[in-house]
Amino acid sequence: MARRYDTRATIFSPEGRLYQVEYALEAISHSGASLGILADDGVVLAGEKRNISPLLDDVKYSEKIYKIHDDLCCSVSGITSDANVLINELRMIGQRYLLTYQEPAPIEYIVSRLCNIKQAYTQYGGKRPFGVSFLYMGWDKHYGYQLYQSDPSGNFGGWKATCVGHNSQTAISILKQEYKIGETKLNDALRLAIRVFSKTLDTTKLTPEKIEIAVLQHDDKTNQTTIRMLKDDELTALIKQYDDEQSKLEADRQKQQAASTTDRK
Amino acid sequence: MVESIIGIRGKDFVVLAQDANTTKYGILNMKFDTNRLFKLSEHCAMLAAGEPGDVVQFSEYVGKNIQLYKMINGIELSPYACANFTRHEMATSLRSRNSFLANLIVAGYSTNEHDQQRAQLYAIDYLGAMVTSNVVAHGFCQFFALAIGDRLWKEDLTVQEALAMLQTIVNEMGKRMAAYPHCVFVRIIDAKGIRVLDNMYPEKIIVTKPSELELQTSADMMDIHS
Repeated sequence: MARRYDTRATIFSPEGRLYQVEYALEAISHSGASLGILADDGVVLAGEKRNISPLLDDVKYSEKIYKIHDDLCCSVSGITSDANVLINELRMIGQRYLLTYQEPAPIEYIVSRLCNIKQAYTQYGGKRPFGVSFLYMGWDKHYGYQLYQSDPSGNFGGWKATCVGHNSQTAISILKQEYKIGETKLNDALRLAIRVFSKTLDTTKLTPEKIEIAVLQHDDKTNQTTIRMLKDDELTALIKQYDDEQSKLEADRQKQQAASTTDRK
Repeated sequence: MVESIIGIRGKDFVVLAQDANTTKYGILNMKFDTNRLFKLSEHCAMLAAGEPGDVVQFSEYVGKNIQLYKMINGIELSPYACANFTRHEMATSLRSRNSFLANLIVAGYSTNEHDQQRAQLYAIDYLGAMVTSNVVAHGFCQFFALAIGDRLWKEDLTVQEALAMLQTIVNEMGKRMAAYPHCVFVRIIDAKGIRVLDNMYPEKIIVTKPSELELQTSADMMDIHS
């Protein structure tokens, strides 16, 4: 194959592809999923945790979701150490803007600046790209609630709902069918997130230890944004709600089947 | 110091005034239609006065950078952000080899509905100190503008009231400043953008003729025969 061209990150292959970027995307597709859903009154980010050993010291440890500044939060999919470097840079970008302009940076500004850095690693320097995809959720006074995705190539885009990481294709197809544009409130978004994760996670049963969910909301009256990680009891309640819905659907389906078989007799 | 720049904030507008003279050697009036206004964005502008070269150099640098921001990010900076950026540049350049002797007034109207105070007015001096106020001025005209502003400014000032205040200030400047402001350029910034209003002139001072009695000397009064 075209293995000769893999050694340097910053070289095109004869077919016009950047293999290192594609390999980075491949690495991300094996990592824990990140899911983002935009609602009319807030944004939801959900992450699939992979490090769930009971030996982990979890004083204030978040594996997937990090706050960048008061109005911006992101979820990580990919190589954690690469992500830590970029998260630090994201926070610096936000603070540099705040120092110069004395007001919070627009979300797209921060995402765009980080993606310029990511792109640089695909073009010059001879270093490999960062093996991380981010989902960003934020609020700013220009465009309100926003959801962005960025990947190792330095590309970014705004989304209404999207997923990266393990089984993201399945998740996206579920979102395409079930996400209602313009009619989704925060509670609907949370229920949809649980529904998607129940189907895409490898485990048979969803538990609060396996997922992280954060919610961002902005209060127009006080002009404050709150970013909140859902606690274990809230997650349990959401999961239970989903399980109850599923059992009800299952019960209805069985009743339907029983009715149709009796009819045939 | 002899150049005057004044800003007055009203209910949902800001009025900007500047004298239009360029003086040289403290005595010559080179030009009486000098423009001191630099546009920063559609709803934000800056008046600058001070060392002539520094004024243009700094104002153009800041103005072009703010335009560049709009080109890169697709959104306009709010007047608050423009003013803070300008102050930051002034403060940074002061602590380097090249400082600018320029006093500025940054004024604008915020088009973002999340802002409480839509009409915004800031004064930045050449040392990088920034204040926001309802009436701001730089130069010797400060003595008159701020004092008259204290007396005449009120909440929910209308455009007519602001222009009347400005005319009072200009009249006073015409009376009391040796560097007579032949003409004052007036602009307004509001929701519709930046507009130029009619020029303002100091009112003509009418001085009574000296009386003929002063023409009499003691010698004249000695003649008792005519």
